[in-house]
Amino acid sequence: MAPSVLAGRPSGPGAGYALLAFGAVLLAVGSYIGLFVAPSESFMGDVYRIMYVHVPTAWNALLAFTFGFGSAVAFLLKGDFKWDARHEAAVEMGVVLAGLLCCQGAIWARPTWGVWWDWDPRLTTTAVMFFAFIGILALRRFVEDPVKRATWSAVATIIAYVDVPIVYFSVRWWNSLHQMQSSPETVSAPFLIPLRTNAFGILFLMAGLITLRTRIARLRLSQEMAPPLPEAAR
Amino acid sequence: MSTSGVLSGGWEFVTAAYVLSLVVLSTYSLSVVWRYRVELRRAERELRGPEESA
Repeated sequence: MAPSVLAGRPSGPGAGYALLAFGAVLLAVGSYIGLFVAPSESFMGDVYRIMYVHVPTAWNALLAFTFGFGSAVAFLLKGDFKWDARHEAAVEMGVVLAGLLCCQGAIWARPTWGVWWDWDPRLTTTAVMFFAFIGILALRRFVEDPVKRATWSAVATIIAYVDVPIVYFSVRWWNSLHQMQSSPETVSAPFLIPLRTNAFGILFLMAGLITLRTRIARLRLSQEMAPPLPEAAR
Repeated sequence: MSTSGVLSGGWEFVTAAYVLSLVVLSTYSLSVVWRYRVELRRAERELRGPEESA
């Protein structure tokens, strides 16, 4: 496999910072509407407002892992290290969002289910997904050779990704405490605006962070794969 | 807590979820920006060459 880490130039950091700032603004606006403007829910009262951060976090965590999976496949097919850098960035972002998702879920579960955690299919498969991708980040840290690291972690991501559709469909396949996926048909109109605003907010934030994190990975790869300095220059 | 099946209160849980989200997302964002700047400075030093950086 011919390493091509130095081939092509990543886009400037300006795009990453702009996406990050736009995402933060959207998230702030969406959260304000969700907390102070949207009406209370009939049964859950105000506790349901956790939905406006929890559901967008879940969507974007699954999206980050899907991008990581796509990047892993692209790396194995093309051998281009820019895909390895994207893969690393997406998996790290996915792990952050999945960890946050589990904590938000526990905070919502306590007042509604009466427990912080339950070995329910949705919760269990999400925890498996979180720990599987943490394992991939650990694997990347322990393997020094960039080619082996990229190949092994790409294969591991493809295997771990099997759990992602299981997480999504778990509430349909098994009896679950967790509610089914919501859609515009099942969510009242006043709830949709903050939900969508926060979903796009986290999406833009995630896109900005993945852009910057990819650049970090590419800079590190450039250093790792640079030819050693000649003796006279040392 | 009410026995009617309708929840009342619970703002402390809402606050906890939003504060946690804010802390996690902003800490990770800052760490990415900081790590990017560190890597960029290192790459620029290497580009200038060992003589200049010494």
